[in-house]
Amino acid sequence: MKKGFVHEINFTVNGIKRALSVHSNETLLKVLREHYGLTGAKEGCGGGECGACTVLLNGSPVNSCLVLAVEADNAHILTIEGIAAKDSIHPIQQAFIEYGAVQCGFCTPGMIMTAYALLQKNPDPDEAQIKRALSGNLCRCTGYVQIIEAVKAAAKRMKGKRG
Amino acid sequence: MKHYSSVGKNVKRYDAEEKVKGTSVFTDDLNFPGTLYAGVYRSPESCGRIKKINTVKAAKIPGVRAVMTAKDIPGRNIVPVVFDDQPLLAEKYVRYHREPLAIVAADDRNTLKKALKAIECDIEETEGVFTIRESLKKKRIVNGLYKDNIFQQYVVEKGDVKKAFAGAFLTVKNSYSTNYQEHAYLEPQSMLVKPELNGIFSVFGSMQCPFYVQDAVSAVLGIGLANVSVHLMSTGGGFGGKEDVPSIVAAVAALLSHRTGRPVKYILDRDEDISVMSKRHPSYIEYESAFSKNGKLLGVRTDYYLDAGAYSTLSPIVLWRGVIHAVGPYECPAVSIKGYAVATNKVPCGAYRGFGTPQIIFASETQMDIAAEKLGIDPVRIRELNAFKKGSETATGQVLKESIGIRKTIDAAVSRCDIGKTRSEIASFNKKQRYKKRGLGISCLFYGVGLGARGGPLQKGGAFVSVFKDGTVQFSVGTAEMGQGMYTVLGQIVSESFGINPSAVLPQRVSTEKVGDSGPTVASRATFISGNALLIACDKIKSSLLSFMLSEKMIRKASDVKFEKGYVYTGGKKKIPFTELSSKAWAGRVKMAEYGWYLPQGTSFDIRTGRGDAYVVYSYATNIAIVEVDMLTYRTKVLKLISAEEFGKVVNPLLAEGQIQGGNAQGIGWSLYENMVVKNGKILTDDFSTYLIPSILDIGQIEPVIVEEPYKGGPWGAKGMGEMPLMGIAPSIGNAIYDATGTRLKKVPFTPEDICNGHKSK
Repeated sequence: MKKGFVHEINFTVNGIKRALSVHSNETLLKVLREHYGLTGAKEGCGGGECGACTVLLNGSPVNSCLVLAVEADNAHILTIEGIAAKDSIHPIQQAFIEYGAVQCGFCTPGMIMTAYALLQKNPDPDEAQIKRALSGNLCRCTGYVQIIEAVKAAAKRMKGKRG
Repeated sequence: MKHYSSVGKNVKRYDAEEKVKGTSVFTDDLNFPGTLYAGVYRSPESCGRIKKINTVKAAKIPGVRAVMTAKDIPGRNIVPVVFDDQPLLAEKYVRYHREPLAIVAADDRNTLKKALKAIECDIEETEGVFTIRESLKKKRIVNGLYKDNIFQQYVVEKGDVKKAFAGAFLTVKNSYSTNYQEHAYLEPQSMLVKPELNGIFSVFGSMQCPFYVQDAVSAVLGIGLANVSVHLMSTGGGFGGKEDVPSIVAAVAALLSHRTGRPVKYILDRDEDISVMSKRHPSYIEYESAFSKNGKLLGVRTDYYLDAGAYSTLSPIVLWRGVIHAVGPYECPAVSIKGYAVATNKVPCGAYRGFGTPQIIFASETQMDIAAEKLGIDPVRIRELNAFKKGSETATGQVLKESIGIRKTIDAAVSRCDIGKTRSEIASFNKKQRYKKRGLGISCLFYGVGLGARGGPLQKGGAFVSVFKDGTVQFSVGTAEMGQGMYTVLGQIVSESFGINPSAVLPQRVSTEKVGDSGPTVASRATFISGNALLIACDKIKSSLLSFMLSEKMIRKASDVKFEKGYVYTGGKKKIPFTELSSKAWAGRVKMAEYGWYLPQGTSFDIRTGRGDAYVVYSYATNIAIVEVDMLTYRTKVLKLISAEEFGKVVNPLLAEGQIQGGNAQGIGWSLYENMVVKNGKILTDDFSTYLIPSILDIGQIEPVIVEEPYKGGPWGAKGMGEMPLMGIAPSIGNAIYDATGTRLKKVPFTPEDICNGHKSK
């Protein structure tokens, strides 16, 4: 790759400040997976259609396969690895386990990140709002029923905590 | 009735935590130093003679480590499945669009892409065969290994069909057709092959059948099966799509790894995956049914054609299952079923959840509805009238003896739906609404558990169980976890046997190194086959423990002993913790690691007549769909789907409900949204914005209802259930659309255009 196509970016990944040289055509997904070993975000289609690569960019869910790494300059990135400390578990993750919302698990990190962003913005979503928020995250295993139940349960618990 | 402590409970999935945390390791998450990336150069034509493949330019690109064509394969150039008619890399002819011609390994993905672009081929294009109709004309033969375009045919004949039809009060004759279905597992096909010391290759991948993969890698490399170790990674969905085709993916990576001496990873892009991997067969069905005046099914005559694609792959057995299930869960004294798997110049079709049954169930269950209306009988009633009961005979002449839950599922679905009330609500809605019409449809089905008689040598399963001195237990099986929850269900089966908490039982990742060839993870067989094999191993260990307790005078007689709630009861109320017994047995040098081997018994099939006991046992289901059709756009929405399923004793209700909901959703997809477009053998809908699988917005209310009818031959009474939830959805929706609009649909998927045309032509 020619020198001119390499860019320096500074960004925060899961609360840690990072600086990195990236190529113009490198995606955020590739950088997260290959430079930082954050393999929770998955590539299911590479075209922004399935949502398995969803991470939060400044709090909003994005398909990281469609975001160029250079676009993440100065941004805050949050991935599935960053929503709970190593030995703890986030209420959304807990609800996904309890409600059977996990089958093969390939869509799960993306699904949880989208749900996380939703509940940050709207702590008390109704079913229609949950469905709308998750409409960009495909799941082929579950039929979505238990996922909806899990997000509802997580919302209730998180609200309870906030008191 | 037995009281269970672990079976029947919603035990938490073993792998749930790693999956929600994003730490579960899928194949593409695995990295070894020096790993190369593999890719496949594919035919731009659907049919033709290969004149030249030029790989010289590609091989010269810096960072390209290997380019191989058919002539570079050290072993056999085949993909072993049933007939071994498919080359891994085409050599003289191409028979479908994007058939593999050459393979490349490069340092990184960008170099790989460049190399694939630099390969050139010269193919003399010839006219292809793209439909079942053209294929049957035999003007052009798709595959020269066969004398005609029929890979396989089956007949099932019973009774005097002519007489049955001659004496019938009503006969109903229709043609039906169905389109492809793409599995759309979220994780694309993925394999990583790594050379080890001593000529051994380790294969890590996403798959349903580690032993098929082992076979395929051994064949192309020309090395012994013992030189190939296959390890299952977290597998992101299968649904049949990871039955036979991972063999191709692994063989490609293995050849390149063998050539370069480096680890090689082959991950398919989504468009490649959709274009070249197996799918549900498109079908054409002629179906004729004969009924008595009071609604008894007297005879069925059907010709069932599957569009197999360019190679036979799994079509012979997909067809067989379809043929066996052609009549549905009903008594029928006279049948003539003929099935054909037909060659075309298109991507080879294979296994997909239901395995040749959803197509024919669509036909048979639509026929049932048409007959009910003509006879003036309620569609529920006509199914009850004909449904199997104890002593009923299947189309192949198998007499059903136990665990026959079809009537229970009908009752359960009807009562969950509160069908009388629902129907009157629908009627009053339709009266009020001009542009929206609602309707209700029903379908019933049965499913032969496991591979059945045509499974031949694959009808077997192994398991290894090891009890440690602290009372924890490890187990291994030869069937695969692909997301369905097998590890958890099998862990429950083992923990029930020792009477201990399921958290003390841990599954070992599936590998060909741990148990013998246990056949494939298909046919809803993992719980049944591996569960039984595990129980055999557990029983051996328990028998050693009993001998030990007798010799140590801990018990007076073996029949006093019970394994329950973490204790071993040694007579009356006397008990010791299982952990303590394990420790004592360990100190006493008791053999606490055992192998179990299970063989299902008693299946048979006469290939000439189609008579025999096709499967050891059957599971049953009834679906009720409630739909709303927009009479301006002709779009259909499934408002509610009730699926009542009987599969013996349920081991984990939450996981089973997940299977039902997921299968139902795939059924909704096939019925309404998933419309593969193929032109001259080329798939045009090769991504998720053109091939539409249901999103969360497309799924209405899904209500699973589990009905139990334990089977003595199953592990703790369980049968199999993974496929049923998809199988009968199309006819339930089609029948509901008819109820709503009066338009009878005979083609899947039910597109707005077809509903519109049907409606306007009336």
